[in-house]
Amino acid sequence: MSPPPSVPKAGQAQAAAASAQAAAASASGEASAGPMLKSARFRQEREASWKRLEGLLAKLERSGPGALTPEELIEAPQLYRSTLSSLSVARSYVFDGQLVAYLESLATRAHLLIYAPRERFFGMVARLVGVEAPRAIRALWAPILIAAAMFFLGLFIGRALVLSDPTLYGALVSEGMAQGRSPEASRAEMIDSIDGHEASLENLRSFALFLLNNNVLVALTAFGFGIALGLPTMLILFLNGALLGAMLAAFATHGLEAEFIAWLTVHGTTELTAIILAGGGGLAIAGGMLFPPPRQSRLSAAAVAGRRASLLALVAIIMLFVAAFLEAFVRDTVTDYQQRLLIGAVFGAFWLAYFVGSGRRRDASSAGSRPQREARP
Amino acid sequence: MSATAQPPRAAEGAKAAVSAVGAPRPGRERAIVTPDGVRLTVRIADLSSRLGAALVDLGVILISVVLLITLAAFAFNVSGSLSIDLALLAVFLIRVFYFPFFEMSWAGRTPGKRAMGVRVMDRNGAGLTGEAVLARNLVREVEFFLPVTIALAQPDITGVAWANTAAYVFIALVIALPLFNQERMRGGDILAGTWVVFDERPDLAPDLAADPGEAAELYSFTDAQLRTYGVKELETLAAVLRDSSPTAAELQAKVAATIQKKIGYQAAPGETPHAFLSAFYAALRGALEKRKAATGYAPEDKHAGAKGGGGA
Repeated sequence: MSPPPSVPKAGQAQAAAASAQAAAASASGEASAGPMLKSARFRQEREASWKRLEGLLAKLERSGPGALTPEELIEAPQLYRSTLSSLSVARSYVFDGQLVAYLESLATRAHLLIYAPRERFFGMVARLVGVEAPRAIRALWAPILIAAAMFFLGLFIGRALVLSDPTLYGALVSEGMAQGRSPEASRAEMIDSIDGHEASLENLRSFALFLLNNNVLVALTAFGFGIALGLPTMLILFLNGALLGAMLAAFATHGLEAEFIAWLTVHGTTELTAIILAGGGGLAIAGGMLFPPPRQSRLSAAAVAGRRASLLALVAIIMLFVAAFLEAFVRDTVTDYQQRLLIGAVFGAFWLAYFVGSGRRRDASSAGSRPQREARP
Repeated sequence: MSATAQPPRAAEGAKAAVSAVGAPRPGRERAIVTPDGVRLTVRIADLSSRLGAALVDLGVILISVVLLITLAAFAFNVSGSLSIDLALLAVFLIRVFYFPFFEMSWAGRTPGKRAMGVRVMDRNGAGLTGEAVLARNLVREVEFFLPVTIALAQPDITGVAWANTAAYVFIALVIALPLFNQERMRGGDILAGTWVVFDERPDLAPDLAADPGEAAELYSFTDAQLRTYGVKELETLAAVLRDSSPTAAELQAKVAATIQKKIGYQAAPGETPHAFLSAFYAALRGALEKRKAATGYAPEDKHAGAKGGGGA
């Protein structure tokens, strides 16, 4: 069975070897395909362009799209396409797994980078906040409305419960939240709690940061728990509403409800709107998962809803920044009833104008491209 | 044939060489198809790499906050409550923006992901958008910062006992999500439409058949000899040739002996196993390429080769 042993032929010229073996060993690469394998020549011809692409990708990954010159920006996709064709050839005709693995990883890296939006982080944030977020808010008016309804339902129930039975106050408002405010407290204490205070800048600063951290955690929890089909989101909105309702009732028993509302309005129009927006985002996620559009899987519906809803959470975070500042620095330094209402109303109107009006220009950028001023026919 | 004594050990050694040189990290494979119709394979990153990346990122965040405070203390004489406030603000800003910033700027990678060789990608293979990066990282609040806050500072989150219990259950379920899906998606990945995959960057090793050299001219193999093996054996042979471990020479000698026995080849005195294997590799690859080009078929392994499917 065994083929006849072949022996090394020392010193034989290549041409002679080729002619001598052409008949017997026709499959020997050296014998009839010239000095080099086809696959080796293929690699030799293309390797420089792969390395070139590798270099451009490293540059892109390190310093973003701004790092490439205009020529390189044109070159990169061309190199990517030629690498893809190299990969196809190599898969079929080059029996070198290492080479195929290299080309596949290079092509994958290039694919993910070349189809990525050419955007820097801060440009992206500006686009999301200026254009995409208000559009998302307008599109998601229904879940936002449901979130608001949930919050105000909690508010009215909490208020009614505490008004009918003041002992329920303790169940709805923890002592840390109450800070001495309760139906049992004296009228003077209640007035004092919403009156202006001379506080050191240090204390105010710490208070603002505490509020910021706390409120952002609440907002993002309400948002993120949309993934649990929105049940915890509803609960968070309801409980926060009930807490505020109970406080309203506590002030109402002393006939101070209007004053309390004015005090609250300074930051409340900003803070409560932010919480409701974040909650609305959570409910939008739940809606996407529960009722996926036709011909869309639950999973991809969750992603579509999640991406859009995250814009609401982003706006909420920014608003909570403003709210924390107002709550710590402005609320207790402005003592006039009407001024407090005015400040609250101005901020409320500002946010409303932003939600309704921003990002309406038709040529404003959408996913992935820089804003461009194009002449419209 | 006394071919049973040596080959098993040579085969084992060769297998070890394959896994040492070229094998990708284990992970479920998922394919993306480019607009040009080429299928690209990615591998889902395992949970230990993900956890490692998260820990590295956490370390980077902590160290940078500590550095910031120290710098503020020494350079600007900031101390006391101001430095605590500064730390709080830094923690807040970093907590919200660290991950989105890096994932956006470094194409789906943070310092931790880079260290562990993983990256975030769009599930459809499209570019990673700002919205996706935002979504997957804002949900992190529920999956990570909320549980940590609860554990360290504020076990009583809602102020109501039954609501606390409900919150713990929900949080536990959300954290455990990656265990319940094959793509190891956490809540943020599900809502962002992303996967975390291995970011493999194999170097391009020198072509073993690039330069036939003088040695190759000394060898010629017959058609029958080159039909003994298929593509799988060729890859194994490549791994053996690329092996750079201390036992490489020993392994190459064993493999050379096995092949020579199988194809009935008499080694000349003074001939090195490496020279023989290099020449045989180039000849075998050339033969397989020819068969593929001529018939559209190259045998997967020696068994397919023995059947002689599609041979000329």
